[in-house]
Amino acid sequence: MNWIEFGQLAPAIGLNISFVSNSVNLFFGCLVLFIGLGVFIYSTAYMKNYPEDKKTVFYTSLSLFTLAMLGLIFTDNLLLLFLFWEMTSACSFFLIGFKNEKEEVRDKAKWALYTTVGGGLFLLTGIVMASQIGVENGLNPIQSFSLTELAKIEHFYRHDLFSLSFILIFIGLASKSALFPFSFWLPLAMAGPTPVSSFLHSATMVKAGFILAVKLFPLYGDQALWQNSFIIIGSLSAFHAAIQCFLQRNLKTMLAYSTSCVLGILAILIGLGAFKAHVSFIVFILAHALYKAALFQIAGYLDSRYKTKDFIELQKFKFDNKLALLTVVLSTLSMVGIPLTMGFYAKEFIYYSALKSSFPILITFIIFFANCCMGIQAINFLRVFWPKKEKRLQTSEVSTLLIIPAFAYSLVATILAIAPGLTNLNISLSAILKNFSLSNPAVTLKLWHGLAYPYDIVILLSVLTILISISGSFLFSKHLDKFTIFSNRYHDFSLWNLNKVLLDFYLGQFKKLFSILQNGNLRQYLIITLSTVAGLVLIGLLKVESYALPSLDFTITKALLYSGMLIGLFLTLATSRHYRVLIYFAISGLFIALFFAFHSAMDVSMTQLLVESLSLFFIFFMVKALGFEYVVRTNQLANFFISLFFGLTFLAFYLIEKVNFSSLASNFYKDNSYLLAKGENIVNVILVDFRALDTFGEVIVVTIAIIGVGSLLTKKGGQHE
Amino acid sequence: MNEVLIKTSFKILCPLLALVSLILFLRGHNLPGGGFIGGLTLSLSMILLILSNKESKLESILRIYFVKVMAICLMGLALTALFPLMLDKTLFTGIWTSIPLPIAGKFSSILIFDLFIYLIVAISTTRAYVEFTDFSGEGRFL
Repeated sequence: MNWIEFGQLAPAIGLNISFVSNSVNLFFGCLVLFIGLGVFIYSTAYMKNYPEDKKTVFYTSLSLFTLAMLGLIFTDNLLLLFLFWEMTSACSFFLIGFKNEKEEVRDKAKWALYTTVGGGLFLLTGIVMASQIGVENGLNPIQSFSLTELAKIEHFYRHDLFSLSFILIFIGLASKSALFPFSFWLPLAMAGPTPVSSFLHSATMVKAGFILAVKLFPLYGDQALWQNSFIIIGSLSAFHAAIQCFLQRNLKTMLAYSTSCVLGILAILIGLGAFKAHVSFIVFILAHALYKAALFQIAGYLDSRYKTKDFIELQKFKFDNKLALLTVVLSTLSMVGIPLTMGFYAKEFIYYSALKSSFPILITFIIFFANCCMGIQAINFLRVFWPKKEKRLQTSEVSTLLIIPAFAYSLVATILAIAPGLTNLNISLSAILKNFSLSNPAVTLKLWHGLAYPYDIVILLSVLTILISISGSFLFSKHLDKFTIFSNRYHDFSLWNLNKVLLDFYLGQFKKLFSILQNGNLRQYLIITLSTVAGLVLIGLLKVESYALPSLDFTITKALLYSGMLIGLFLTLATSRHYRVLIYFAISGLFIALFFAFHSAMDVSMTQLLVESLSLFFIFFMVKALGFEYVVRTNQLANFFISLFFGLTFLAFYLIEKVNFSSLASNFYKDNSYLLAKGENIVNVILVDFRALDTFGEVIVVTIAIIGVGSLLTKKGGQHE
Repeated sequence: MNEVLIKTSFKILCPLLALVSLILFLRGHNLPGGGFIGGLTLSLSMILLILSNKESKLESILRIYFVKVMAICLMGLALTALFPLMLDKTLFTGIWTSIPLPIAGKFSSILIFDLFIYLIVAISTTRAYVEFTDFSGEGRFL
């Protein structure tokens, strides 16, 4: 079953690398790779005019994004899935915010990041709860994060945490797949370049949520909670997005809302849970990915050629590119659902499963409504290429590479649709469904199922959808003025604004808090830090029963050390020239280093010594650069009391009679540092072996800090990294 | 006169400190020392080198190659951490060989890990110093 399984990243928390290859995973993986190949080819032409360094960022993020997506698809470990999940969010942030010189774009990318990463935190909590259920059913920590192991638990749904874990996972899933009420980030993601939109919307980012749903179906799928959540949220998203989609005149935004609409329908389908619903789920994902990627790429092609995305504007142009025309015809017809396209099969199955569901009328109506809205816009897209008045305007030359991938998508979709038997599509679908739906009837895509119920109504609905789409599109352009007014009004009350208000309020409060805590005044930082530490210690001290004076055995060495420290400090306070203050302070630091050495903490002592000497160098130059000669001492009295408070609390801490520190950790290191890590210097063994992960993180922080210092201190016009 | 004395003493101290830092780094696993302390000592030695020589090549090298060197070091660190996975062991596990090394004892993946920490600490501290002196306007204080 397991395809790749090697090594354990962190066995203590259940993170191991395991990838599973089954038909469902392979289906999604192939889809990502196929669409991704086209996107990369498309990008070479689309990104031609960008500078080299921007291109590097773009291709790196795009490749990483693809990698994360593949990881997410194939992984069997829920924690690893979470890592890939957040990786896709992070990469998509860079991709959406690619044109980062515009503030608007940066803002939009930020909102997309907030939504998806915020949802990811819910997902993580849900995953941990699911593994908790696993642990309580007798799995070990590693197994408890494995999907295959969790699926073997018989009474998974009986656990108390079941509902809560599902709701948390569902919130994460909905935020990623842009379901209601998180659907606002998807149109915002249009700020990214076209290849990114076409990739994100067709096979990757927004499908990640559904890939997770497919993975979790064996665990949660047969419960009412799962069905109701998906159906209700899916209906709301589909309905909301359908209206939004209908109101758009911008090609890319229109496509974005239609994606949102499709996601809603997919959610309904996965909620219905019947075999036919699953068939339509898979077929619809395939159909949608192929036509949506193609349409996005054509929209980008039109934009770079005619410099407009408004399809009413575009309808005025005359087109001469036959390949683009063919692609759009094939893709939009699939989107409307004309027979002999993938979209047709998908719609047939969708209507069938909606009619067989527990609320046939409501669900069928919503899906019908959504399909009509999308259909109208698809015909609108198609009419961009309608034969029209001769009007040749100045156009810019663009590469044919902007059309070829889109053409390939629509061609593959058409071949699959025309000859499902020839291309083994039926067999492949059956294999996919066997793994996903856990039931095993064969799937056959047929054009004509006869007229027995419910097929008669299915056919009727399909025909109606097509008719309404065509007639609606013509009505649309006839009443364009009224429509624009309505569109503006509706947009003001959209979800995006509500979310923006809420999040702006939330972030505004944080800004206020940070303007107090992080006001840039170093003295105030020190005051806050010292009084917080001392205050916390004081709270602990209140519980202490008795204090005792430690035995004072002064030797001459000790006396010398203490007096050295004190003399250094007094000299520091007595002088006011900056350089002298620094040197006197360093002297006191050197005595502290000696003190450590005297107590045989050689490593600490050496570090103290080096840090003292290095910081002397550094601060010396800062003082010189800032041009301060004398130390300015203000608020002496307040500072005196704060230091006194700090000093006295720690003195009291020192005088506690009995301290019950747990010696578990220190004993472990003492006993095992030679046995396990073959080193006698425990400090170093802890740094590079036992707690190597921490060191790794620290070193990264050091690097980032230095790069930060570099970018802060580099003068304008000077050398930049 | 004073300046010449200080500079000459820096020139003598600099290679000595570099040697000390190497020893500190190598013996770190068994005796006081290690990558962090060694790295700081090496950076002190490099700072002295920059201070004693007005047209030091080290400074321009640090400016030009800093990001690349850091990237290589961090990559090396990550690979050293990931290497045990190939041997079906947990991340960050130390792999020990029987190849003898002076001062350090035996060669191990821990030593490589420590080496990268040594380099990162040394280079980034020196680089920060270079930035600070640059910021102070006149370059060097001697």
